Amino acid sequence: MMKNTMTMGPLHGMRRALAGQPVIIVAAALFMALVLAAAIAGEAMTPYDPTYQDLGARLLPPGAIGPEGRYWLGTEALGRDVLSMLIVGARPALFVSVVAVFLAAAVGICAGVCAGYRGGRLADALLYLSNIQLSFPFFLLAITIVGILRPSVPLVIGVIALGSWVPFARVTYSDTTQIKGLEYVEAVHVMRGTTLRVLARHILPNVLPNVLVLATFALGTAIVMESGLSFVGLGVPTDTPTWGRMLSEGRDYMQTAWWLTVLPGGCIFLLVLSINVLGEQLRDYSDPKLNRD
Amino acid sequence: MKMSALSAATKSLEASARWCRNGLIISALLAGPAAHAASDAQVRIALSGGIDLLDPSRTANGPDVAIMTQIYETLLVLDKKTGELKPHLAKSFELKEPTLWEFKLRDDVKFHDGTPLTAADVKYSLERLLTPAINSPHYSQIASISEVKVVDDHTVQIRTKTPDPLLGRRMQPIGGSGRVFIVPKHYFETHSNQEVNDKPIGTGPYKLAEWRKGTSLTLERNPDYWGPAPDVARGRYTFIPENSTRVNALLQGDVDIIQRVPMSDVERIEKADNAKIVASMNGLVQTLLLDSRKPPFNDLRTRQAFVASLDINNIVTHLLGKYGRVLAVPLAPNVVQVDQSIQPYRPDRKLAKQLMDGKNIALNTYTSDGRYVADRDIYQAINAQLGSTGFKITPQVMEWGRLIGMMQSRSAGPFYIIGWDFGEGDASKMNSFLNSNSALSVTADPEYDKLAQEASAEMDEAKRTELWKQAQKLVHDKYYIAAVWQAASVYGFSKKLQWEALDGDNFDLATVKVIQK
Repeated sequence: MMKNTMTMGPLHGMRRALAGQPVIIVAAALFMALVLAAAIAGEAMTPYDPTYQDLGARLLPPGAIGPEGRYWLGTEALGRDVLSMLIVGARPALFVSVVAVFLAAAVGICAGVCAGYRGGRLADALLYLSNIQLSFPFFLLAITIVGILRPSVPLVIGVIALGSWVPFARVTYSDTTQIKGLEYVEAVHVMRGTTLRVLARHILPNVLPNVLVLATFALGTAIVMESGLSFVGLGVPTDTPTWGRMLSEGRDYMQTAWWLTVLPGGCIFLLVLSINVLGEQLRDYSDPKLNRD
Repeated sequence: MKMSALSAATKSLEASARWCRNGLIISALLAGPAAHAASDAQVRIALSGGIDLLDPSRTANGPDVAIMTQIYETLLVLDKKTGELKPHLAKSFELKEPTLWEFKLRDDVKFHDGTPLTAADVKYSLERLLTPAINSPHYSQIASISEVKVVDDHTVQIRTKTPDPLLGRRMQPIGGSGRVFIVPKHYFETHSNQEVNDKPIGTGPYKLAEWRKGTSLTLERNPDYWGPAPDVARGRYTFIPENSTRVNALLQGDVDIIQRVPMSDVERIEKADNAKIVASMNGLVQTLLLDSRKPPFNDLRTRQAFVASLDINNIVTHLLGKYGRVLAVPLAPNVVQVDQSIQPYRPDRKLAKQLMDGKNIALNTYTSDGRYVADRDIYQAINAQLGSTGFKITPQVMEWGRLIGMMQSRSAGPFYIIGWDFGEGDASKMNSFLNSNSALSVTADPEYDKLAQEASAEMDEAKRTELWKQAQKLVHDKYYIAAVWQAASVYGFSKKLQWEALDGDNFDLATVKVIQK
């Protein structure tokens, strides 16, 4: 699927190469902090009103001085300030993806733990369902669903969650089957501990570290999905700019105004890379076997 | 001031084109062998949309029509310069009684399979359009016809139920007026709808050589054409919906002609060594329609506030530059009935705020992206201007096929932009978006409907013009249409070719000249 080929594949190698470099980690953390600040502060941080159009100052290159002052990252086709648009665009990118990943993790963990603990038909059903989900091209599914039902914030979140829950379910499923056979779980059974107690006190805490690492990777993918949906005009409907829509609108000007596509594209790329670098760091930190090496 | 300069420029362009064409025909006649030198030229054309149907009675889609006008012909054509009707397949026509038209056919016209054209074919073509089972999009345009009579092999008479001043215009190929293409009776009667669609046989300057559905279509010169032979021997049409891909294909020499050059790429093509821009100001007339049948725009004051919020001149100047002009009435400037005394609306924010009276109106609206020149950018600029006077717009980009379906089912939102081809040069086109009986109309004004009804039956030109002028005044005073502008049809051409774009959005391969091999 898209995740494997587009983000995980090439990035995975890069992550491994970069993970040992503290400079890269610091840079990733800094960029992440910057995006977080932009997402929280939003319009309070922008040099101009990101929706203010000035048709007299269209397509100014980065650094140009227009009637309202200097445009550090230039202006777009309707004379809006690109820097301000990028800042405001951080919020939908992060908000939608974070909520979607939370949702996907919750669903995935529930399904994975239940199926792993119970086994049998439930496990077969889960594996079968996740295979179907994995073999269906996600983007096609997303476009169909959002296209038919008309885009809205809950729907976009739901669709991205739908495209991200499988890895959570799969990982927690295999972790659960492994853990439930361990001696201390059997001991709880012997001592007549309830199923709920086993799940909550013994299995869940043990699957969570893996889920956390998985969530960071899923977050990167979710950002790409959100931008992709915005790109094809099926993203969150809002009159404020989003990175995906900026990319899509800048496409017509690719040859004449590079900054309209390179900048939002770069933001998406750097954000996903930063999340992955930090995720890799988190994994190394949480995995005792790796620490010993 | 600007408008008159532009229309003067267009006129002189048209005049020079006429010169060119006459010159070329003469040189072709004088220097036969020299003209033949270019005769094996193949030209590759990239259209922005695909071709669905080539059955003239079943489609009115732009790309389909671009191909059909090469294969099929009509009884009459419009003179590009004067806008008057000229003979074509018919060598003469006459209004014998207010409800009886007589057409005399040429006797040297043959279909691509060698069968000569006769009056029976004309009768069959008209009756096919009128057959309810065909469900032709042109049906309503020629619904006034009550009977078609074959007088002899080359004479046909058309009787109308009531006097129809526009019947002649329905017999020409440009615009949406009727497009009565003449098809061969013997072939259509003996073959299925699917067969005649896949293998069209007409009388036109080109015949279909190959059609790979969804990929490409090739036309080949008809060696037995009755009129002047076209300069281009073969035309291969492909479809490239993506704007920048289409432009790059031209610049890299993969194709020779492209349709719909985006404004942002005009300069790149102008600067290129191998390509040039060919533009016609007679492009589609873009109308910003307000749905006055429903709230909030069923209220005149709200419509007036909307109009006063807009500075369309500013938008068109910046986004379309020399390839756009603001119009005062929803008619192309070449339409004879245009009321020159009406001025475009002026922006007046103070008035708009006063009319809004502190209210905020939320509007969910849609735009196409790429259907019309700079459509999405213009829509966004309009939204921004509206935002400052209390109209809160939730924008949404919508795929064109779906959007037009929503327009027809009256669910495309409180306002939207739609472009109209005024090729037929008559004010009756306004009915498409203003008459309450039209599927794409957004108004239901009995006063307008009455004027349109009277005009449609008025045989006296001066009185008819007067009625249409009253209708324009009414539409203007009631603020049914918030803004009107015309965007040029901009084509990219290889420098090896020459063409004068006279018909706006209608690309005519037969008039392309090869100037360099």
